[in-house]
Amino acid sequence: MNCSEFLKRYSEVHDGWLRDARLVRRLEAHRRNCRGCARWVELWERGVAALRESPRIEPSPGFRAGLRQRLQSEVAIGDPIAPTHAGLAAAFLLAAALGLFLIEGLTHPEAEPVMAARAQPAAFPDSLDVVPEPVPVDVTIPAFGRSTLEFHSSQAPLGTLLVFSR
Amino acid sequence: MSTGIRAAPPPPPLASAAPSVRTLGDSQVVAAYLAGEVRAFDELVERYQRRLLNFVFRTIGDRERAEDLVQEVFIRVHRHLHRFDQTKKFSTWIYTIASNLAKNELRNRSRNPLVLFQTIKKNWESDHRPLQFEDPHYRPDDLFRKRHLRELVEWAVAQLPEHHRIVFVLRELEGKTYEEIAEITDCNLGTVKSRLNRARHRFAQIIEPLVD
Ligand SMILES: [Zn+2]
Repeated sequence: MNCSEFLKRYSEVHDGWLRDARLVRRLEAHRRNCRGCARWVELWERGVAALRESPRIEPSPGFRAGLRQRLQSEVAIGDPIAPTHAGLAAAFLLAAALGLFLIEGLTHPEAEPVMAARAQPAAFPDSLDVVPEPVPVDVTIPAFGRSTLEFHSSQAPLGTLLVFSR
Repeated sequence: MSTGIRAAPPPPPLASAAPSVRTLGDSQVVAAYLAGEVRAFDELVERYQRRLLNFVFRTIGDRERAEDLVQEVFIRVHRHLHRFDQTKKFSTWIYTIASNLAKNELRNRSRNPLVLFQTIKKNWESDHRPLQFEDPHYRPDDLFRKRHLRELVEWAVAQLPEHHRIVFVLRELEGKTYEEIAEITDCNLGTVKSRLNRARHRFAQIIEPLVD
């Protein structure tokens, strides 16, 4: 086995792609006898181990709020969606935006409220066991025109019932 | 007067509340969402926001922009989820969207020197990534004395060519299989293996002179 073959095959064996015992023995033999390839394996494995130890970055505190706003914009603009799904998709988008808003309210109470305060109960329950009264929210959804949504929250923050009223 | 167009099922009674979507597999969460369980979308965000953010960040090297792109991933997931083939793996699908957005971002940057400059400047000012390595006045051996191996290898990943870097990150950091990487990057298995092998080789080459 030469170095070029070693470099190619070692990678595949390492990932479990090749499971040929004879090949594994040949690779190990080459590695023992070739300083260059042994060094390559050492650097790669050590480097990747260090990389995996690197702290993973976290979404910024405004990530969900930003996502919520963008979901709301999707509804407002009336993004091109397959016509048969337009109403449902718009409703889902709005529901998800509202749900994200609730999550934000629960997990980041200091976050700036973007949806009108009407959508949020005066004092949002710390416990999700409480089901707030439905709150009507006026929205305009392209497929339905101006509508009133009754917004319910059940035990989990995104437990949402949408009822379109005209 | 209510016309009763219901986009989502009514919430279950408190006594028999639906089991938490957190216990469900991805495909079940997707199915639940499409069936009107709007909590499920938030669960998808919760499951993937960090993973995707790290993947995109490693690929494009700009944290702020990575957040924008990950938000865009979720917007697209939302927009197209009803068309998602539920026999497929959701994680592969969402990574494909993220990978395509990251590749577009890199492509746009390479065509726009101003954006490229702004990105470098932003990263320079940020402590999220040791772009100082790119300053010609710094010598890697000087920097190496000041910095840890961890920062060195992060920098090394950023030096890999784009299509090698994506494959490398998907395999080494995201733990994707060859088949998943092939699907995410829209390449055949041979290309994935070849790119991964080259990326690993190059990665070791880059850090070699800087590691004792
Ligand atoms: Zn060799």
